[in-house]
Amino acid sequence: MTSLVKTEQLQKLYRTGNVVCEALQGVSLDIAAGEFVTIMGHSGSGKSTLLHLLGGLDRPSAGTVVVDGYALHTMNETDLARFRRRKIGFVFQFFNLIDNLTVRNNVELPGLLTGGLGRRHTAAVHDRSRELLSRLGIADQAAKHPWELSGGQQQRVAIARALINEPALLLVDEPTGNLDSASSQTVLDILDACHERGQTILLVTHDPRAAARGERVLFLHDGNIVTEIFEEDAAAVAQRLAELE
Amino acid sequence: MSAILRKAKADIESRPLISLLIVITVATSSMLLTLAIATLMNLSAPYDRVFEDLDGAHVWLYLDRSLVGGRDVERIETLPQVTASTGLRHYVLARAELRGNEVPVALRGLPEARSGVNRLLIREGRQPSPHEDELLVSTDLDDLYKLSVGETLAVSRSDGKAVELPVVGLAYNPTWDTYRSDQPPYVYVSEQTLESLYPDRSRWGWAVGLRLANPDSVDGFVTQVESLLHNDVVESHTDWRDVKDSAVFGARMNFIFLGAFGLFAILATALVVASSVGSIVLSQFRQIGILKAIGFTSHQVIWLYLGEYLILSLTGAPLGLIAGIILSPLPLKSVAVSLNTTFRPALDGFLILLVMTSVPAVVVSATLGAACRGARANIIKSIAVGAEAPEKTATWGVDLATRLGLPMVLAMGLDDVAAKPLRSLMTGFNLTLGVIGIVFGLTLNQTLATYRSRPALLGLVHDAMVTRRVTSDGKTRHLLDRAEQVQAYYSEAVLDAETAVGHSFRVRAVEGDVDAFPFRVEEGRFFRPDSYEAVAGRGLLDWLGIDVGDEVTLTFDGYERRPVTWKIVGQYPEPTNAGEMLMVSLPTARRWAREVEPDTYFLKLADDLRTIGLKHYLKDNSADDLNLTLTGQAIPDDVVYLQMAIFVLAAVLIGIALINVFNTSLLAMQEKTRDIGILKTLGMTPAQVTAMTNTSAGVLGLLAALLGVPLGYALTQGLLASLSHTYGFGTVHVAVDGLHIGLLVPSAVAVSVAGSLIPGRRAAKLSIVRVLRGE
Repeated sequence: MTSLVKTEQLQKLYRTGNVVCEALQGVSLDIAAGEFVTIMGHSGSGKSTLLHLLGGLDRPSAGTVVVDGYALHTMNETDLARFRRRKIGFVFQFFNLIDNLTVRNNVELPGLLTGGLGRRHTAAVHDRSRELLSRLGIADQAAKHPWELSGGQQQRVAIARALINEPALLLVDEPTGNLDSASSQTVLDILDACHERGQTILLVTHDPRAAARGERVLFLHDGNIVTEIFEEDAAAVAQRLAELE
Repeated sequence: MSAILRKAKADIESRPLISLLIVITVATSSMLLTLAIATLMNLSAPYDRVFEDLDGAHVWLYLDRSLVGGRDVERIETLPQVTASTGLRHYVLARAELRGNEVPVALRGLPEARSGVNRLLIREGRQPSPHEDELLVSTDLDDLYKLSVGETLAVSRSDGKAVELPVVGLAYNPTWDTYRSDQPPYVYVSEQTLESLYPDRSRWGWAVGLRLANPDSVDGFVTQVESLLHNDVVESHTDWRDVKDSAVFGARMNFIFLGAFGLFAILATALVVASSVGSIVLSQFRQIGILKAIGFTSHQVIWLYLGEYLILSLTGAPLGLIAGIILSPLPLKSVAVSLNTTFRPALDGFLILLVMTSVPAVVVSATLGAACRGARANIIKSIAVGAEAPEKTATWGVDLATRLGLPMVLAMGLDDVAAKPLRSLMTGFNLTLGVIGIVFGLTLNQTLATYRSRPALLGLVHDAMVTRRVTSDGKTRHLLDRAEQVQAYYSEAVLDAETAVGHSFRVRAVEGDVDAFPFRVEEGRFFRPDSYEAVAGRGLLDWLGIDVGDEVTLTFDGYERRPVTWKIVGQYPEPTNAGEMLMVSLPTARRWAREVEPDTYFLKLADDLRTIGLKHYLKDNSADDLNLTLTGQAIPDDVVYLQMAIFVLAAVLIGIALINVFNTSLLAMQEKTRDIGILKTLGMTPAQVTAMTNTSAGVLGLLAALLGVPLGYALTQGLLASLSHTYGFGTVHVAVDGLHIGLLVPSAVAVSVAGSLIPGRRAAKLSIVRVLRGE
């Protein structure tokens, strides 16, 4: 399979005064197109930092990161923004929806940001959002504002928004961290469904049950990938995580 | 209290730029308020000081020589109300050649033994020596013709010939002014010189200046003199209060505009503070939740914000107060300079107290709403969400932009305006105040330009004026009829009139080719020749409490005292005597004031360039008696300076508005940090973030311009109409330059966008990772 994400010796340092914290210590990683990869690790292991670098939200201190042919470590702020818009879909733990926009406008926002001015483009974005909202079971919520929805519904809106531009890579950060178990199950089922449609997904989570949904689970510890496992159940994932203590 | 102060101090220190801008805004409004109040409190102080220093006369009586003798003057001086007298003063109405113009002057004799009353203020040079033929010239002539000590001036003598005399000094007379004065400007000479120029003492006019025990009893005193001696003994009189009014006219105008702009600035400050504290409270909702969680009461939260802004206002207000006190001589400068003095208002406890309480009070009041809102915050929601519980906000911006096919970035910017309507309203209104100020300045500018180019609007309908002394009316007419440069002319005699209830005013009695002159009649129509119809200045109508269509019955002073009734058929712009003038047909007036002859002729010229030829022609054929004067500049310098001051004040308002836009944008950006982080995550480029921020500011600028232009126009019209009414001028034709106003719209947008540039750039540089980590 073709490689969609490739990092080599990826390093990220944070400085606070004279103190330097090495969040990532030379991570090399390869994710194929269509793969569902999960990353596990304890707090401070570097999971979110890796996600930010892969999504072009931050720049590495050293090493390279290439996503869908784009060498993110060489790109400027504007190019990174355009890259995120076209190639990446983000789903966050706290949903991060814009409060004063309706569900429909939230979902369509990245589509309309691409700059198309014509009615055809707007109509295409609208059609796509309608289809996504319908697929995710929240079509009837389109005119509501985020605060009128439950947490599970808000996360589904966030997923719809992430998918509106048909991204090459879906980056998902603790999607169930703020949800009850039923809603968590629904959200994970949706991610599974997306994967089945060929969507490449990188999921960062603490939850072994969520991690077990991935085809491959990478374990991060102190800024390094220390191990990886394939097609294991939740118990095995939890066992491996416990071994990192 | 210590906890509140500590937190307030930390908040101020954590927002140094915003705090500084608030302090600057408070200082600016305090300064304007200080200037306005100091000007109001000291409006007449420079004049009062000079008047008292010189022991100015409260009243000057110009006496009819045929009705009084030396003993009568003594009887006047010994009336109980009189506390001091100048003694009898002599004067002769003469002419002086000034910069090519022959102007009427009053040659005033200076007695050898100087009286202590109404001393002259020597602005430059010295008094004439008692035995030398020297001139001391009134400062009014200097203001008009820029004279200097050492020059020579040609003054007419009794045989009509001119005599060159040296000017040895310039002097200010505390009871003479150009406004309302029946006397021409003074040129002082020794009694000996007066006698050598005009040996016939019977031609000398008599005047006496008096100080009164009750300075406000001038009118009653004049009546008493007339009842004591003869009804017509006082030909005219000068009331010191009129002179004072005239002297402080410029300062009063300065006060009106400073006061208006000062109030605008305070309002603008309240808006800046209200929008600023509103945004700060919103951006600190999580902090407020934490503070309440650790034990702050709602009242303490309110006091926290009130305290912060009280500290800022108590920092800014004294700075503004000091600046205002330093600048306070400026609005009174024109008065002080004209009096050859400097004037610095004294430090006044009331002024300090007023500024130091009112400005902080306004600031604290503006803080209160948002502080209370913060105090009501729900602890759990504030800590969890970090924002006020969202309300269902309008998304018309997004919907509209989507329908119009506009880029999403613009829609988001538009939506920001709609999402916080109160804050948008306050920022927009602040910008509107600035626009109103600019429109005010531009409109005033255009109106003055219009009046300059069309003097007829000011009631100046002629190109030139000819005055005669010894040449007969018939010969003057004959000369004018034969002058090829004169297209048309009308003649005028000015008569003193009095109504049955004692209202005295002046009447212009005119005859000739009046139809050829563009008289503007604001209401009604012009009178028909040889009729008992009249037109009146607005000031006269208001003073007498009558209107167009009414009748006025009067007698002419110095003629048969038979009452004559005139029907007022129109109102015209009368530029002199506060509009308290009546204009009638001379042939009709002559029936009641027999033998009255015109002495002034108003001309319409064919070609201004050939006026020198006309001047010579008239002089040569009248033994130098007929004098031609062209219509001069109609707009006084004071008004031009005032106009400049208005632009400066408007710029101050725009500056405050800019600070508000900056503050609002910056705080909106801080408040929206999370949203901006999300938008950037979703792919909004730095340029798009900047454009979004600028769109909000630009829309506010556009709305401010659209609102400010008509409001500014209405305000200018209202203020000018009010001033015009006060000074009896009648309708003011307010003019607008469409191009300037048109340019004001994009300018307002540009200014507003400029205010949001730095916050926009900050937002564009926002680190997404820092935002996401902050969750």
